[in-house]
Amino acid sequence: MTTLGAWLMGATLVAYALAAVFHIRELYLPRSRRLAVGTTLAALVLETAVIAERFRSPHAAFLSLYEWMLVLTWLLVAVYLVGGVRSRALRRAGVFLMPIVFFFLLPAAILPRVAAAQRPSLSGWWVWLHLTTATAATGVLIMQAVTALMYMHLERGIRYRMFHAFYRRLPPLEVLDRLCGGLAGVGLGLMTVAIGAGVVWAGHSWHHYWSWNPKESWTALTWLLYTGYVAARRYLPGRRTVPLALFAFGALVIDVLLINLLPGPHSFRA
Amino acid sequence: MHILVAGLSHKTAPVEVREKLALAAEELGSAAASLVGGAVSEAVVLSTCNRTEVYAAADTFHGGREVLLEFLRRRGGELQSHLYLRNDREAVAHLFRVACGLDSMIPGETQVLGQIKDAYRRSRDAGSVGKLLHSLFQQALGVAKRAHTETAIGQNAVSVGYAALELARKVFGDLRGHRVLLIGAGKMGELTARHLHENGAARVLVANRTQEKARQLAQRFGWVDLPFPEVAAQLGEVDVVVSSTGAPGTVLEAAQVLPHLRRRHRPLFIFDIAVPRDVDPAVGKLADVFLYDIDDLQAVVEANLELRSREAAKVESIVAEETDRFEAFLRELAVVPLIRSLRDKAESIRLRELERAMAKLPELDQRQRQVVEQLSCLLVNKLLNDPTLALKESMSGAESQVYVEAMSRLFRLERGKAEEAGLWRLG
Repeated sequence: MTTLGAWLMGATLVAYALAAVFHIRELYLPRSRRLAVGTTLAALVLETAVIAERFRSPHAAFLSLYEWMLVLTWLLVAVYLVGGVRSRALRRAGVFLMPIVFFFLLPAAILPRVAAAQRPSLSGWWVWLHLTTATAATGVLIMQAVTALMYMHLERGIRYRMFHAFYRRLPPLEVLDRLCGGLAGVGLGLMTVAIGAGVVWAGHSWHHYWSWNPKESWTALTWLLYTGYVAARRYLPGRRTVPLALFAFGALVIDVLLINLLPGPHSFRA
Repeated sequence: MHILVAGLSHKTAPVEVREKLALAAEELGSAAASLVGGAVSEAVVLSTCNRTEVYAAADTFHGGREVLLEFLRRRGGELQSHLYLRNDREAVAHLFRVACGLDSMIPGETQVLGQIKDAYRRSRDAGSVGKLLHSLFQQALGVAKRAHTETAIGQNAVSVGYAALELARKVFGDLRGHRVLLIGAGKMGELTARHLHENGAARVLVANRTQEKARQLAQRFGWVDLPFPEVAAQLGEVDVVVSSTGAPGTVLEAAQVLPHLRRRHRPLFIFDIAVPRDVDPAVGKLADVFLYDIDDLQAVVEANLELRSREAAKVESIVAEETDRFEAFLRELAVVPLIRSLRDKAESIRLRELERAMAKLPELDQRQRQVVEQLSCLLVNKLLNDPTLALKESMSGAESQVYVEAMSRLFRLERGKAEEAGLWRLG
């Protein structure tokens, strides 16, 4: 990584930290949204520069955890900023999303970065499908977790008569509930495709489809948890299922941030 | 010219005094018209159950004051200790505060805005409103609009009924597509029904121990009535329950409710506004059931009222800002006649001198004539531009009167216009 890249990355992290702070401030000063959105936009521009600088050198994308996180968080923030123009639920999601983005970028940026060598196994249509659907699934499930947090906050607010500043600005509970279900469904679908594509590709490359390595096992667990959540939604009220969604999200975070550091075909340590 | 307001409100007078001064809506216009003449040139009379106030534009402060106090005295007798009288800047700010609901019993209420509009319209139709009060009342409506869009002074319910409605909306969004069950068709039930109807609830079931009353209430709003024993069975189907029976004991027991809630995975909101309570508090412990009793709703209202009072500080600063703006507007208005007479004088000189010059230059062709004429226009405009601007700017300073005086003397403008300019100031 060049010095310029390092400086840009530092600035991006600072900007996201500020964006997180200003989003929290916006809860208490509803008219200060402009500042929150402004810093977020600045962070996104800086991050775009980091990505541009990074991908100038000719090597495949997504090959280090760092690069993958950059693309993922960039997409999330872009969706948040663009979608927030129309959707109230998305605007309110910022206060959770910004800290999440910051904490996803932070370890990726400070962990040792060994540029992954161009591996011949990492090419072809199935890889492409596997990587894009896995990225999309992670993004959608992050939004799902944010929605679940908002649902929990609002539900508790109404149940225990705690009307904090944030309570007044959230969309109705039923809207959040529908979003929770919808996002979980889409996220689970994408995850299923990603796993399927990964299995096919592994069969092509290594001639064994499933080897129970840590990544595969943990991803299977995460997939089971989300499937459990989607199924439980049909039989249990929202208040009971939200903790399961957050539990599944915890598994996903470990999957993405920790398991990928272990040796194996998914290792970002190359 | 002075703007005055005299009157009394719930803050200065008890209801038995206020009712003596209260005017019916139809009387407002004629009352305002009766004030005009003599010292008072414009008047608006505002009368609500919380206040009776007379706004006036008067040539002299003392003259206007006498007319207003005499008017109030004639209607209400000796009121001295209850009355307040404000003039000029304070009077302007007072109207703005009243319009924003800052002076109301419930801060931020908007009913008073409609009453101000009505008072203004009736006084205008009676011919007692001129340029000054017209601008004042128009701006007051604008200030109120600004206060309500820029602050939360009018947000968050301040009555139990609306607090319940707001909570229900916080869970379900729009009530239009949701089912509501109304238990009890008494006074509270009827009030709730009206709230629900106003907010678009269309799928409402009404149940009452005497079913005939339920049927009557349901028919009034185009809803359906329900036999009382079937209430519990409906709990699996409805989204909102409002219970307000006069029953001495519980109407909905947990054990009775539970089997019907088993299969539903949507939230159910129960408002128990009856005393003694209709719903067993244990029902509120069930998952996805929210149960609010009258005390809970009262607490919500209290919290909302406190929020509104906190917003009031922001509205005060809007009022101060707008009062400044109104003063600035008056000042600009004040110099308009002076500037016009300056322009008129310059234009007449220009035309006279142009004619004279043209008479001496008969050999000029069409284009040359045009150039000379344009030159004269340009000279006049450029020369007058700076003093005009300086005069307008000076109006916000302390020595504005000096500028007006100097301008009229330096350019030998008509004295009448200058005096008029001076009179258009507050105070």
